[in-house]
Amino acid sequence: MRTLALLSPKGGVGKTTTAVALAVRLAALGQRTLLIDLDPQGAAGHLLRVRPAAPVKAKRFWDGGAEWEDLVRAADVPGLDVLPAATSLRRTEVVLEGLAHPRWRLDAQLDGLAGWDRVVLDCPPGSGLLVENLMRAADLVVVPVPPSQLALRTLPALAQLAGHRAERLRPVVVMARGAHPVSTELRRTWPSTFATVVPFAEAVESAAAARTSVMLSAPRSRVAMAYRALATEIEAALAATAPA
Amino acid sequence: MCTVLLPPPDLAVDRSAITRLMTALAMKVAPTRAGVWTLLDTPDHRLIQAGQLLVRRPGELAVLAAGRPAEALAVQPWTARSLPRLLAEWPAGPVRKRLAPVVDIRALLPLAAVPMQGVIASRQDDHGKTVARLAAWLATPTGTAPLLWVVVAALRGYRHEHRTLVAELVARGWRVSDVEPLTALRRSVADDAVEDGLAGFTDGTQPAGAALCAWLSEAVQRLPPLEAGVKDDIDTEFLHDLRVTLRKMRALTAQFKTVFTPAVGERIRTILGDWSRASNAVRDLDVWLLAKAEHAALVPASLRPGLDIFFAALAVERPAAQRRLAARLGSAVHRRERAALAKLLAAAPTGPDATVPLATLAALRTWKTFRQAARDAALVHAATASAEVHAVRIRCKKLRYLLDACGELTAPDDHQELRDRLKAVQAVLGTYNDVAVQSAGLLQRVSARGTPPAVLLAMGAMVGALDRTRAGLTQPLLNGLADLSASATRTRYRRLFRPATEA
Repeated sequence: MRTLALLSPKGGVGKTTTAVALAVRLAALGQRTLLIDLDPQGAAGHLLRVRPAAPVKAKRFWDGGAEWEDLVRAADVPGLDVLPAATSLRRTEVVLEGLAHPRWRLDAQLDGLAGWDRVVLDCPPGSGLLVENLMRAADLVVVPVPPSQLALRTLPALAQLAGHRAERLRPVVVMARGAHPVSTELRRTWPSTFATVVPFAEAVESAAAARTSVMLSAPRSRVAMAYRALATEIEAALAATAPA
Repeated sequence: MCTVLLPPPDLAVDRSAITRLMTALAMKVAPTRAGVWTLLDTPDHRLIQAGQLLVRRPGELAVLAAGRPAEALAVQPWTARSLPRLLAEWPAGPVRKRLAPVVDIRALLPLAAVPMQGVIASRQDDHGKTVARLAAWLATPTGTAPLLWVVVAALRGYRHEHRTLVAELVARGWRVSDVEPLTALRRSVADDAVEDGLAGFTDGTQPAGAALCAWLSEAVQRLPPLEAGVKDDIDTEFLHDLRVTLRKMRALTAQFKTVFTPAVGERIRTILGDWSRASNAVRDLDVWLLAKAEHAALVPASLRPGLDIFFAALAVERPAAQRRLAARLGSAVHRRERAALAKLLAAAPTGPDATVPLATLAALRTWKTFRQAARDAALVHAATASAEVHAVRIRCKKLRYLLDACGELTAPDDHQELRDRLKAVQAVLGTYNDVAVQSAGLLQRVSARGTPPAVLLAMGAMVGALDRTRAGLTQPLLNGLADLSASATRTRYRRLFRPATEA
C-alpha cells in the first residue's frame, strides 16, 4: 500500500479537486484506491456523494478507538472507496496534542488498513501537527501550487517542517492560465516539480456543481487529461521511492 | 460479501420475470446487457481450480471471481473477432496481467458459450449515491433449462441497505443460495472433461482377450482429437494426455500379452512404442520450458542471464521438433499404422490366455508386477544408481496402471487405498527420477562445443541445485520404497491377488 497526500498550507488551491481526480484515475488504472478525507469541510466526500456512515468523535478517530476500515464506504466508481470526513475533525489539532506520539497517529492508523493499493489523503489547509503526521506517513506529498507568489512562498515553510523528509514534497502547478513567470520560478527553485501542468478549467467548477469529479463529467477535457498525466507521473514517482 | 438468490420455484423463468422484479423493487435500472458469454480455461482447468472464471463477453474480456462473478477481478476491452489461444499473444492489460501467474504458457480454449441477458439495477439515497446494487441474470445454455438468478452486490459501508434489499427479495419468495449458477455451469463443464478419462474394466467375467481388445479400441478412439491438438500445438496438455494414453495402452498390452499370439502382441506394442518415441523430443523440451520459473529459482540472480540464453536456445529448438512430430502424426505411415492397429484389435485374439476370465488374469498380473516392484524396491539404497531407481519407477507405473484399470474387479474394497499408497511412492520416485534425468541432460548439453561461459556457469549452478534436491529426496524415497516392500504390504497383496494355484 502506497500513500499519497495532497497538502498545502493555503486554502482554495485545488487540493480536493486534485485528490478526487487522482483517486478516480488511480482506481481506473486498476489500483484499489482509498480516498481519505481529513478535511472537516468534507468536500471530497461531498464531490463523490459519500456521507459518513455514522458520526465519530475526533478523539476516537485519532486514538485508534474507531477502526478506520469500519468507516470506509464504496464510491460509485469501481475500485474506489472513500473514508468521508466527520465534522468533528475540526478538532484534529487539539486532539492530536493530547495524545501520546502525536506526530505518528496517522502512521499508526494507516498501518491498520489492508486491502488497498493506494491511499490518497485529502488534507485541510494548515501547518500544524496534522501536517507533521502527513510528512511521516505519506510516501509522496503533492503540493498543488497555483501560479501566484503567495502560493509559492508556502513551499519553504513546508520544506522546513518536513526536515529530512523534504524530498517527498513534490509541487505541481495547478489552475494555470498559459505560461506564467511563477511556474518558471517554481521549476527553477523546486526541480522536483511535476512536469504536468494542470490548467484552469470551468469544467472543474461545473463538475463540483454536479457533485462529481471532472474525470467523470468531462473525461476528454484538457484538465482531465492533465490529471491523467499527473497520475502517471505519480505512479512512476511511487515506483522509484521506498515506502515511508 | 455479495448474496446470490434464486427465484421462487413456481416462477416462470424468462426475461419478463426480470422486468417484473425490477418494477416491484422500484430500482434504477441500467440498459439490459445481452450477448453470448464464452467461458474459457486452460485444457487442464487451471483457472477454475484457482477460483477464477475467464469470460469473453460483448466488447470485453473479464476475469470473475468464481462464486462471486458480480465482482470482476479484471476487465480488458476486446472487440476483435478471434482471440489468440496463447496469453502471450494478447495485448497487455489488466486481464492478461491477472491471468499470467495462473495460466503461464498454457492455451486458453473456449469451453462453453452461454447466451446471457443481464440487468444491473441500483438503489440510491437522497444525494443520488448508490447504496445498494443488484444484478439479475438470465442464462439460456444449450441443452439445459434457462437459469435465472440475482446477485446483490456488497457495497462497502452499506451493509444495512444490502440486508434490506435481500430481505425484500426473500419476502417475494427468492431463496438465498450458496451456489452461484454461472460458476456451477462452468464447474459442470470441468467435471465433464475430467470424467472423460479412460475408464477401467467393469466386467471381470469377460474373456480377457475380448475385454482387452475392446478397451484398447476405445483408447484408440481417444487418440485423433489428442493428435489434432498436438499437430495444431494448441497446448502442451494435448501431448501429455496423448503420451499418458499411449503409455497405458502399451503397459496393459504388455501385461496381458498372453491373450495375443506373440507376433500380434509384439506388433501392437511396436506401433504404440513408435508413436510414443516420436514425441519424446517435444515432450523433453516442454518439460524444461514449462518448469522455467522453477529452474530460475534454483540459481542465483547473477547467473540467470546465462539461464535465459539456455532457455532461449530450447525455445528455438522446439518449433523444429514440433514440426517433425506434426509431420509424423499427419503422415501416410501413421495412417497405415493406425489402420493396422485397428485391424489387429478387431480380430479375435487367439493367444493362450485369450479366454481366461479378465479378473483372474488381472489378479495374476497384479501379483506378479507387485512382486517385481517390491523386489526391486527392496534393493534400492542411498547409493543406488539412478538407472536402477528408474527401473523401480517403471515397475510402479505398470502396477499403478493395473490397479487403475482392473482394481475395481480384483480388489473392490482395497484398490483405492492401495492406489493412494502407491501414488505417494510414485510421487517421490517421479521427482527423484526427474531431477536425475534433468541433471544428466544438463551435463550432456554442457559437453556440447561452443556453449557460452555464462550458460555453462548457470547450468553448473543448476546441476548443483538439482543434485542437492535429489540428495534431500533420498530419505523420503527410501521410506516410500521400504513401505512398498514391507512384509505387511506383501502380505496384503498376496491375500488379494495371489492365485489359489500358487498358494
